[in-house]
Amino acid sequence: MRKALSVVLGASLAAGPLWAQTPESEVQQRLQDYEKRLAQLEEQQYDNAVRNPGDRIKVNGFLSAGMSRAEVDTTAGSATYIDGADEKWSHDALTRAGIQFNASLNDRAEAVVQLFASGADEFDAELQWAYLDYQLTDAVSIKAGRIVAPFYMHSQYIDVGYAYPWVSLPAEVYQLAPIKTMEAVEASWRFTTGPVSHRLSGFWGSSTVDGGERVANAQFQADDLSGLNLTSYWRNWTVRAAYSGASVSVSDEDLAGAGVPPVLGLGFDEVYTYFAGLGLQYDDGSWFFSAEKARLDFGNWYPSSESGYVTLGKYLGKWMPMVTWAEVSPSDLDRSLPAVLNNALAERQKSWTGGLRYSLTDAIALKGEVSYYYDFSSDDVTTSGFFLNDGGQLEDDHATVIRLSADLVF
Amino acid sequence: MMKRIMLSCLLLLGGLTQAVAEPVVVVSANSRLGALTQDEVRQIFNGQIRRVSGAPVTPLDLPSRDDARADFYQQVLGKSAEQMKSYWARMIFTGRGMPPREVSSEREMLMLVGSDRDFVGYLDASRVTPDLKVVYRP
Repeated sequence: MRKALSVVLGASLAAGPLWAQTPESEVQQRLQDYEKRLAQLEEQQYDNAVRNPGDRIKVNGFLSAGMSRAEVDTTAGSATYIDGADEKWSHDALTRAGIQFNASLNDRAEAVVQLFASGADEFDAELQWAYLDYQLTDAVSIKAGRIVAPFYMHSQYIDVGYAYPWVSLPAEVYQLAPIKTMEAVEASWRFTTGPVSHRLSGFWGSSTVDGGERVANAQFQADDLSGLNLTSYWRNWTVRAAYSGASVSVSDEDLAGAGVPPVLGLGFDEVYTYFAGLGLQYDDGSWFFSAEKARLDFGNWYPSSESGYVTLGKYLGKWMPMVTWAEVSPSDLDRSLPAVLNNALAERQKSWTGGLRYSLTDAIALKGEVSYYYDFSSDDVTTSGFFLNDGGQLEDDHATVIRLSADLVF
Repeated sequence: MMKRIMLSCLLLLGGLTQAVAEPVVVVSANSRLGALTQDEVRQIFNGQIRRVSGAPVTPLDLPSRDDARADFYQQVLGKSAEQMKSYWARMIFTGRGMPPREVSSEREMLMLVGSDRDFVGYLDASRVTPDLKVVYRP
């Protein structure tokens, strides 16, 4: 390197006297040539930039590091909230990360793979999204493969903490149906009507879901899972309406495990189940408002639920305080069933959550929230809300959960 | 004395108003696009539309460190850098879209928008060159 430099220096020194001897017009001519050459090179560089829009493979990731703790009095044993919060500070229940690769195959086709691991699942990496996207026209695209079910407004990015202001999305709506991923085909169509732009999408597929600890991990098989949803955007408003249905089956063994005594002769075979949701959001960069109403309806004796939440937040520079009220309650209870069964399977809970979000940088957010859960029981049912007790019962009709998280995208 | 203070106050104010940048939306001078509405500009930069009256549009972003970018998003979409990042996180991780391509400098923005009529970019009003056409002023 040093040698090359000295050669160049030597050459330019030797050229010095030559320059001095060349007539001025010739020097100007040479300079003009060089400038022309330089301009051509620049032009080529920008031509390349126009023709090659970015890399063929794009990599994006997200990470949330969270901790949580529940304050709940029990008659015996201990209680855990559905998102993993228990009586000691736990650091893994809310901790999760994902990495996504978007590989463009040609102008119209793209392959997308998202690997995801969470503390709630012992950090076993799984494919959360893996699909082929084909752009049929500018407005219509088809996805086929493994995708996250789009039941409610924020369902598809529930693991990306940076994408929403809560530490944990309201469980009353988002933990109601345990279905998360499905193998499906989805078609979506974008169109505009005046100043309003819309996205209409329909899907068809199937999924096997684990109902979670509260029903002894019963497996729900959802076939012919299909749905339609419309999201409309107008200025700072977003409105979303969705309806999804499936034919759901649970084996007799799993039903018995979940606490349904076989003597009752209650089966769960190809039961038409639907999820309906209506959402409204407003975000003008100064105020944030989000509200949803949801219904999960089993077409048999299994208790159906109606739920909803309202959130209001205010952006104050890097800070954002917010408050949420949420509710879930059973609807159309089958009163011919033993009360103990309805108590075990029906969902009932209300909550107030106060939260604060702080933007550390434009890619890292720190969040904290305190949720007060109450009204688990009524004249109809006696439940423990979304709390799971091992052995005892909740002493009070209320409990508190504190959550902290750092969320980032890269 | 009083007059002098008032004069310097006025001068200071003048200086301040000059310091606030005025971003404008630009396309190539030979683009078919006429004027855009604020709704159209928002929809283009949110990735909600890819055509405006039949003409394909591809938005371009200035680098994130560029002040004109922050001014543009604040004045036209009413959103901060964090709010836009959160919006794009929702789009990227659900396969609904990718943020606009980010150019390396204002110079690249000028070259790209000037050379291809599909591109839509934004710049400080004082930087508009003759091969560009202003289609929206906030």
